[in-house]
Amino acid sequence: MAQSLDGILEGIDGHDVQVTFSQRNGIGLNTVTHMLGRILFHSGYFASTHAIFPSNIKDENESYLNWFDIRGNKAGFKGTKEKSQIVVAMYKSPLDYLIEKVQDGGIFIYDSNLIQELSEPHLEKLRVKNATIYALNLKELANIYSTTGKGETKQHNFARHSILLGFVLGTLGINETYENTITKALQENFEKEGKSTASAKKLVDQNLEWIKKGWEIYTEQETKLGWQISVEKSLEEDYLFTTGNDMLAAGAIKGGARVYLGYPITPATSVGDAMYSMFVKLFGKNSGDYLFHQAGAELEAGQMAVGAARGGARVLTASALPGVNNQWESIAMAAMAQTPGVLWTNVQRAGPSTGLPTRTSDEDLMTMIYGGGEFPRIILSPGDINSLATIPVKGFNLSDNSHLQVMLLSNLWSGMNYFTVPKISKTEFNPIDRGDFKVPDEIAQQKTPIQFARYLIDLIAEIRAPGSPGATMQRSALAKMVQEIFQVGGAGTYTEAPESLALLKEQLSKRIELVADSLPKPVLYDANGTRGIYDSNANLKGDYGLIVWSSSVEPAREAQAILRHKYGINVEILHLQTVHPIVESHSEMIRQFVDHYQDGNKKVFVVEQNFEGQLRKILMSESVLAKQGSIVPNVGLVHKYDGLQMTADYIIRNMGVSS
Amino acid sequence: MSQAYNNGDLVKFNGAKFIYHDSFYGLNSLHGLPNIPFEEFVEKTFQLGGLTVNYKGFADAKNFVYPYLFENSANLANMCHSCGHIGIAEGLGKAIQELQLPPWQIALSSGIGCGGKLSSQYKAVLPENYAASIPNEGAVAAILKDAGVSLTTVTYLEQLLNLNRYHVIHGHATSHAFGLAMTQPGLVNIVAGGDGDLGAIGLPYLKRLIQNNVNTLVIPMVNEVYGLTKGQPSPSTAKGLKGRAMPDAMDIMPIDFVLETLAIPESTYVARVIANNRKAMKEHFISGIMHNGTAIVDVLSPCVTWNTEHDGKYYELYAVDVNNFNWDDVQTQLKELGEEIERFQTAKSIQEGKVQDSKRLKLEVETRKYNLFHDLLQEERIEQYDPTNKDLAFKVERRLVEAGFCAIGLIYYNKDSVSYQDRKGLLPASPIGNLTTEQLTLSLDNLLSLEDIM
Repeated sequence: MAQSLDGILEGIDGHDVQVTFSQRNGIGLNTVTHMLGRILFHSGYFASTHAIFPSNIKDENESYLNWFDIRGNKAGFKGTKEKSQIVVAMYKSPLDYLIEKVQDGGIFIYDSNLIQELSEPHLEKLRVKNATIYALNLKELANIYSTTGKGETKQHNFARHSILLGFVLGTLGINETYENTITKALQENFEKEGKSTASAKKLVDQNLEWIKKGWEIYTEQETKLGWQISVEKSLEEDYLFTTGNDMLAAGAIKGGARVYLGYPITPATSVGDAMYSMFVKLFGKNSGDYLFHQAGAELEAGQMAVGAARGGARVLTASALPGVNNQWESIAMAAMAQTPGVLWTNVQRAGPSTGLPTRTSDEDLMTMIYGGGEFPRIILSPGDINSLATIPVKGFNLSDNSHLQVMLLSNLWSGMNYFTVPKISKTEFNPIDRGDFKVPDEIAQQKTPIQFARYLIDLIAEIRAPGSPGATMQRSALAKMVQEIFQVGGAGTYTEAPESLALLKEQLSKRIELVADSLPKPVLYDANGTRGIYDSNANLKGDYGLIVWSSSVEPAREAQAILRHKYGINVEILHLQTVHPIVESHSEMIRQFVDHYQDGNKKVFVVEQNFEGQLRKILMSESVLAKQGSIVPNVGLVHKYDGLQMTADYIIRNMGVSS
Repeated sequence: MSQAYNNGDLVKFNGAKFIYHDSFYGLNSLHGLPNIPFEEFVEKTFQLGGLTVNYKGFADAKNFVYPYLFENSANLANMCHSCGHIGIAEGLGKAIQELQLPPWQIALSSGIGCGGKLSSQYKAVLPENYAASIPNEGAVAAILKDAGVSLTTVTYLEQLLNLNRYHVIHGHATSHAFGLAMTQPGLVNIVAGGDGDLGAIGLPYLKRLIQNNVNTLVIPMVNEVYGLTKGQPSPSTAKGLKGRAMPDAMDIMPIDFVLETLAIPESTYVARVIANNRKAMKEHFISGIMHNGTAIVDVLSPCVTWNTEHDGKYYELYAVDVNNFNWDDVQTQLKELGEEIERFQTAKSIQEGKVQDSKRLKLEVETRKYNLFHDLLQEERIEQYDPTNKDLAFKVERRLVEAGFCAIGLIYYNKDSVSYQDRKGLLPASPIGNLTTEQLTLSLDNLLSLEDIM
């Protein structure tokens, strides 16, 4: 009996499917999830993955939580939903979570070899959900269909997973009619993993055989729901299926970065991996046009980064809080010596300290603002995945034009998962702007003298790398200047005069004025979901307002769409991409936005992924919303702090929306 | 004879590699002094422990045109009078001067502590005859005035022509120099730090620098104390030493930079000098700069405030000059010293007793150290120390240190050293740090190429 999908597939226009695969970690689950993601991408869906994985290499004891959600939707939302139409369980440990994830009317598939039988409470839950259950003896199937002999091997795992994939594709109606789409997706998948075209083809053929077995097995099942999701034109012309960290790496290289210094740490490691591959792709190995170096520690990487930047290059260094905590001395030193050129990236994770290394959060905002000491700095948070590739150049430009340290905040969820994003060759072009930096040829032609003074705000000291005349002494804070420095054309020598220190603090803090207009402005998603730079003339008309930063913008956008389409409720979203400092012009916009929601039944929330409600606290301070003499506005908080990315449903539930 | 260079030539000159910009040397463009008379440079050479060090320089020091008469004796960093570190500053200054390196090709990174003050020691001082009549001074002065620069021409030039100096965080002058080497690979890259900065917090990063054999000169300035924080023990503090501010005498053997270097399979150069020997320092620093890799030149540098017991004389007494050892000569010396002591034993003066004590100590210590060293050579069945033998170097230094001594001189070198810059294909002709905005901007083809692998 064919069943309409519309009743099952929720979402804005009926084209929204999510599959969850779960297997103990370390035996190849990644591969099949990426395959499915790519198949959806090439079937015309905005595909994303969401990995829940442990801090472990191989789960021999089957005790850790490990699953992937793979979602495809036509509306363009990034990120996943709480419930999946299809859930596949291959080991016992996460069963409670997995059964909870099954959507009403959905499908639950399990490996009957590994999970001999479901418990009565589990079965009851599935009955209540009206779920269709399939028990497959995957070990037997894998043994039959694997090309190697008996005994558990890698091949068996691959076979098992791909047969399952075939089965799942069968439930969705993606069968032999769409073999070309599947072949194309798989070929691309293996080539992106680094295989040659020929080796990839071999793997494609093998996997296709297993997928076909999966189709066969599905066809033999008594109960079939008759689902058919639409398979349309691939999104490949204008989009990529890639990770946030890849986007960040590409964005950095687009922004002029030719040096990467870092140290392996989840979730920043793949930023370095991506940069290395990209450097090699662009320039070849050991070409002298770039430098990738794995330092002995983040501590070392930080200081190397400052040295490399002083040598004239734009440098990317990416870490997570445990690494950033080690880098504070270097950041502070560069701040006080006013050395531009390093983009300090914190790919946030659940912490602090070691924390849960494989879970996400946005909990380091205040640390980045106040860490390392009292000095001004700029902190950018792209937030949406697309902006990961366009913001880095702005960060570097701000650094070169203000001589302040610039930090970029991302997180594990955006960095390590796959999303469907616009091609980098088709997004906005932002030119590299190096401010006053001069290369030797330019210096050779220079006819004006160098200004050695470094602490005037209306006169940026010229930056030049060693190798050209005009050496300067670069030293960190310790009152390094003399009265003369504050006169135009003064020379710098060491002093400990108290008035110099006071003047230093004042002058440094004014540096932001040089670039205040270039700081990425708040973005507004209006009541229709249209994205634009916030304009003080904006005609706000929302019933609910959401102020977001970092990756909460993605589920917020989906929440906005669901509330509009399903409940006729208007939501407006203010997305801050510059999270520090919140300069007066941005503050004004935020005040105006918040003011609109002080009327009657309207409400406004800050939506963020940390326990303390850090952005909300900052906004509620007297520099933004609680200005002297003003009435303190009502601003709520929607927050999540369990290490998992928010979903749209979560936001809606916590907004207290009455439908 | 050296040839003159043309604009745009890649110059390899005395350890530095750079593109020649003739306007850097013409005063009209405000950058420097009249052209370097490269054609006047001759090949110069000296022997250091069996290594022949070659470089280019003026036949007669009086002809120095190039303006780095660094003013070390002015003690710009305000060190204690007679501090060993002042000697190091002078020695390094003389080495740079002898090499006549363009100052902007030199980077000096130093850490935290008294050792870290080395980067503050340098000030370019124009040669007297030049300062008296700067060509085009009127024009230069006018340009400075126009731009609102309130310095005199001389002061401006002194600022302009100093070497690059970086005072960085504790333990990381090595990492910082490593970073500089990545983006400006042709620099003469110098690292200086005390025994805490390089031997405690900084030791792992020093080792990473050595392991990568980054072309740098590293100067551990060893005085067995933490000077700037007032006298605490350091990892180099000798067993048994109780400096005036230490609560107790040191009860364990020190960390030794020479051993740390030799223990690294990739290390290619290590030497040690005592700071009171200016000539030796100058030669060792020149040799270190000319070495293509990480050159460690450990300097024993007495701290006159916190470690008066181990002064220059002490270090001389407890060190073995491995390059200049002749067993016959030594035996003769010891014999004569012994006889001298005996001769004076018959005198009655108490004051002579004092001289006798120091002479007796000298005899006792030298007998022990030279016998030990001689035994070590004998074990290897050699008469002379060979600084190209790493096993020998490690054994000798370890046994000397355990007995309370140390080696000085050129201890180990590998002339076939390949530097980090070479291995990575870094181009002094077009350093990463000199790429223009155009060169950094990705083309459409570049972007499509990246999309292939995303």
